[in-house]
Amino acid sequence: MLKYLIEKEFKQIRRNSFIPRIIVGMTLMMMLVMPWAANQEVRNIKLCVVDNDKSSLSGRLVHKLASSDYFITRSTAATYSEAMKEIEAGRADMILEIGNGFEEDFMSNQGGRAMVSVNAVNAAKGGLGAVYLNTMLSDFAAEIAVQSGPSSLPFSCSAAAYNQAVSQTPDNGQTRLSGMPAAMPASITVVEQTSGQGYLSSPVSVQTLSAPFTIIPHYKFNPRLDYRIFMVPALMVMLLTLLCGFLPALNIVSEKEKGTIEQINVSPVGRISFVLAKLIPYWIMGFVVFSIVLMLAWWVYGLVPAGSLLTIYIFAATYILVVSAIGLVVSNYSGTIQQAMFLIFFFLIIFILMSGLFTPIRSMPEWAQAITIVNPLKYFMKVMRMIYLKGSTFGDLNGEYLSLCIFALAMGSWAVLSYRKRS
Amino acid sequence: MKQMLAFIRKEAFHILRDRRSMMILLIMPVIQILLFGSALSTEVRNVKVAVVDPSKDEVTAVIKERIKASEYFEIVGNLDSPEMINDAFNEGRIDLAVVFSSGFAEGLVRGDAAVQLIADGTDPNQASLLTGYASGILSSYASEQLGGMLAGALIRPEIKMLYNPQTKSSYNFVPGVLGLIMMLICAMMTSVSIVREKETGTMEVLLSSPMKPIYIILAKAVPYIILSLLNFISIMVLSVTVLDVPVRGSFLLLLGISLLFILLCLSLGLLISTLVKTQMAAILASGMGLMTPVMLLSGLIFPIASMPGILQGVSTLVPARWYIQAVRKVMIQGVGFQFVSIEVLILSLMTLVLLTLALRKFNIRLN
Repeated sequence: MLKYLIEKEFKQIRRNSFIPRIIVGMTLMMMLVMPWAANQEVRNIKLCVVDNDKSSLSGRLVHKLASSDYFITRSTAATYSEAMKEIEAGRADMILEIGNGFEEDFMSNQGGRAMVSVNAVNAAKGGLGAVYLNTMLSDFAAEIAVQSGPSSLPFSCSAAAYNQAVSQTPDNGQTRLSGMPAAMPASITVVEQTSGQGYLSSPVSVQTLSAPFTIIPHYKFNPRLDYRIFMVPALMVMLLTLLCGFLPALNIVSEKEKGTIEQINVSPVGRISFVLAKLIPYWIMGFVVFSIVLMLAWWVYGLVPAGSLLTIYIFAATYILVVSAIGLVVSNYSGTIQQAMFLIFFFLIIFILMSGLFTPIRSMPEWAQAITIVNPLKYFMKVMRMIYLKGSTFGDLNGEYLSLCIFALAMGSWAVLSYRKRS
Repeated sequence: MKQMLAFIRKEAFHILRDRRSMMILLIMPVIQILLFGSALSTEVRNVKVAVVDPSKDEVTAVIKERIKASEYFEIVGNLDSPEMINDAFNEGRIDLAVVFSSGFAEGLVRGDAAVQLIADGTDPNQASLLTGYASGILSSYASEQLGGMLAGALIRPEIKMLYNPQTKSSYNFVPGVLGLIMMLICAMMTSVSIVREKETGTMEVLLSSPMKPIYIILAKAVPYIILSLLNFISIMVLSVTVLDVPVRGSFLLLLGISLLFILLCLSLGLLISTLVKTQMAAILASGMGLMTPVMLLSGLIFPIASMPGILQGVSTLVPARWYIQAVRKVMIQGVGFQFVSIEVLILSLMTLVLLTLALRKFNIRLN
């Protein structure tokens, strides 16, 4: 009997001209467009320079900033208040005010004065922007210090080693600058490019020249700090959630609205087979979409999981069950499409935004982190990223798998129990 | 006019009758703004650090103490060998590993001491921020050891965070979530309520009444405008009282821009309702078709300036982008009308275009 019920579901999906279109459209959008948009890298910061010194040194500084990848020096203003206007109008994100007597102070080792004002409405963007500018300033300072001769260096290190370190500093700023907290004074951090781009060879190392020891940052798993590698596995999860959560939620309710559910209710079909017949088609569809998406990630972004594909499929199979079951529970409790839609939107937005997809979970306050324990998306999202980037094995992730199984079981039984033939 | 009022009342009854939907409509935005206003954050916090310290001397002890004392890091354990780092990362137990070279204290004298900061690069922004913070702690220790040698640093920038000195993430997210919620409620609600009348056949009854079709549509919009305004006010009250997000600019200006945006969303909903036949299609089109672009292309989470040129172009067509931008300016930066005039102009143009298109496409006859 189950076979016929499933056949009926497939026929309904196929006959509805809208659903296949939505599936294809969402898949393409999620995989081909979104990875380019979902980028929290901070670049193209619009910088407005107020040069009170107008010396050759400040001119060189402005030129250096203008040639960097991170900044666009679109405007210069005569006074600070004029520059503030630029910020208010949204034409600038950041003001660099070069103090009067900058060159003189710099050359007499008193430290040139500069004031940086950042539009921090977007805290992350403002913070990173300040860090970048700070690093550029110290790069510049080190460069000038070398050119004007080792005697002017305020610290003791062999000039040869210093020159070597500085000569490797790329001028165009294409290396990702490793930053310092905004509160730190710009000191003597020099960013140098090491040879390889290979896995685990750090592309950037910071040498603090006068420090008694060397600090070497190392970015594991994603040495080039490519944001797309981070987002694509997570966007796959989002796609599965939207498709396999939404469509089942609307399914039973639209049968209710059309009245066709009455025919099922008077038939001898049991609760379990009814719910299974609703679940299985979405499960199969989810599998197909998921496989296509994995292929797309490989073709378009050259992204293959560092871990095992089998583990990914085991997790995906369980996860699709969880979201489809949630969809069915919602539709069992709703009388109209409108109610179902609001409920599912309500939960989906919360699930998605609190899954760690866009903002890290550890940055949330304690109580919010506690809420994420009941968010199935969080587990699958974490798992996908760990398998894709870190190559974690099933053994590393059995805690997450157990949680997903509990969700599947709980939601599945809830879906069965909440389906009533009597209204 | 009396007829019109009757129609508005009918529409209000539709909303009031469905208690559950109405509760969701009024409560959903409240919960969302509270949740996201405080939970969505990109601040560096609770970073789990593991230390590999073969020498265990007093210098490394001091540095470890410094790391532990900072508000960003918590040391979750000592690892005996660098090989164990891999396992710890694979199981997701740590975010950062600090590896001291062996014989660190003696190395300081010889000049070959080194600290390796191994960060989990899966999340690039977090990785560069937290290595930045960690190397900040290390180099401030180093500069103390040098005895103020760095006091004469070559350039001394003084950094000021405008508008948001505590760099709170909620300042950025509240205007964004406001735009998201308005868009969803207005556009989705109108499109569904019109399509439902088509589906159940009651549209025919309405159209055969002596009311002009345009008034029928207007009457449908009025209750939703009121509902959206209620939501707007509750969101504003909550963000000021609970989330401590200020309203620095003029509230009236904010209200005006929001009304314009509500109107725009209603026209969008109307347009969608003329293009689709079933409620399901209306929901999917307005739900998924609007929610994803708003979340991804409006600058709500991802900065538009970082996108490739084509997408920046596409994002100019997303109305929420302009609304969120304007709200951020007025609410957080506190600027006056002349600084948001471009956004207001674009929003008005969009409304005009959408409304004309929708009214053109609105069929008086059913086929």
